[in-house]
Amino acid sequence: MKNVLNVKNIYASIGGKQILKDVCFDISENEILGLVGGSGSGKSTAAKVITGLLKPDSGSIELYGRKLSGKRSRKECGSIQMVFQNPESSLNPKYKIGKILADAMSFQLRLSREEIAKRSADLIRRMELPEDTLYRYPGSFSGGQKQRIALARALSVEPDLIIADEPTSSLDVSVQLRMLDLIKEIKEERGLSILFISHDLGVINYLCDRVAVMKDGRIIETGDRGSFFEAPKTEYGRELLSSVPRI
Amino acid sequence: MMGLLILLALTAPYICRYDPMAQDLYATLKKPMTEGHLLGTDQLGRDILSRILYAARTDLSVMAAAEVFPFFAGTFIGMAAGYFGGRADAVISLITDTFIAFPYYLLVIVVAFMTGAGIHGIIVTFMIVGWLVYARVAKALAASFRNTEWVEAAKLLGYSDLRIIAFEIFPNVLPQVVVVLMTDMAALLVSIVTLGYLGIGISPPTPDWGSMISEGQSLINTAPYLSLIPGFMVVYTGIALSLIGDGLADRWRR
Repeated sequence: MKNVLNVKNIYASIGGKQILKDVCFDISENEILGLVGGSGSGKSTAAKVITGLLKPDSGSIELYGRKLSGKRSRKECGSIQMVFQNPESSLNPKYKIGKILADAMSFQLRLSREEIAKRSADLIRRMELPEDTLYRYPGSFSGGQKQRIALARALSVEPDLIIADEPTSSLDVSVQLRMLDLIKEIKEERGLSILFISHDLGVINYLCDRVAVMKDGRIIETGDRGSFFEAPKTEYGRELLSSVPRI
Repeated sequence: MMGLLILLALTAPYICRYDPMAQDLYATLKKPMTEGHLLGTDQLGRDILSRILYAARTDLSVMAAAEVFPFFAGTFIGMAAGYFGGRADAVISLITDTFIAFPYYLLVIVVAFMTGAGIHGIIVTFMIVGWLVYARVAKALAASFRNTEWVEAAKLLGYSDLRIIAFEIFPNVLPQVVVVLMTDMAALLVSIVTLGYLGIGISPPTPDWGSMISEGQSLINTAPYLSLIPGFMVVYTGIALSLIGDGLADRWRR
């Protein structure tokens, strides 16, 4: 399978404090890579660096083998999208959902108005959102619905990679499961690559194809989901696994 | 309330039977409700109703003219400072804090003396100091939005900083700055009136509520209405403005 994203030797710091140390990993087409680790291990910082919101101190990020520079073009921006942890502040409260989606598509893809309307309606239906979603403001939706709208916004610009930073951690269990299934289905339909960040190993086990373990700003272990959950290679991996409550 | 006032001010030339500056020394100090003069006349026999309405024209238009530039400039400067943070923020903070530490009226009076009394002086003065209050409010708000996910999502879509400030942040800042606009307009009206009262604002004989109050002051015992009526107009306008501010803020709060 083709590599979509290559992260090579990334060092990054926030406010003078070094957070990421020599971070390397890659993601293939039609693959979900789970990035696990305790809080403060640098998972979200890694996401910020990949999206370009944070400049790394050194190292490189390649998308389909092409190196992404510090200042990204419109197309490069659109090719990596993100679903954030907090559904409450993911959408601009002053705009109706229809406008949020339409703005993103007209800016990124330069589509006609009819095409935008058609795609918006399709996305809303695919995300199992109410019919009138496009005409409502973000404030009128539940957390789970907002996350699906955020996913719709990310998908609307046809990205190559979606980074999901704990997108289900603030949702209750039944809503969480549906969201995970949706992500899985969308991945299969579109052949998407997804970097899924979570500290919840149950979620990772359910969703991901491969797992990367992060500790103190370093990737200490990567492997297939099966082999990681059966026999983690590192002590920290075993620790993480043993801390999961068995039901 | 404000609509009524603006309507009256706009139609003043059609409503008023008298020229606001026409003196009639045979009909001085008529009490309100006198035949032909609804609100009476002043010590020079000028019709008070006409003067009040013409003064509304001057005062309100000076107020609006002096407020437009500071409102937009201050809001955008503040949003930019809050959004970019870092050095831009430090520079803007330094400027606003310096100006705010300065006694406002002193500054206004100094500039009014430099540019000369009159309408232009007031507008110029206010352009210099007026934007500060908007810059402060907009900066604080924009800084609080800077790291929200919806701003980051906008960056990820590749929107330019200008676009994010103007189309993502501005709609969220607008309700608050409009409330500030309304209270600030009331404060500005008071300063226009104060300057008129002190004799360095809108210069006589152009009617202005401030100079009307001060002209009536010497006769406060015999003809209190000379000062009370323009005084009431100032209060009325102030209340109207703050009600508009509240109403708009309620409508936009979602």
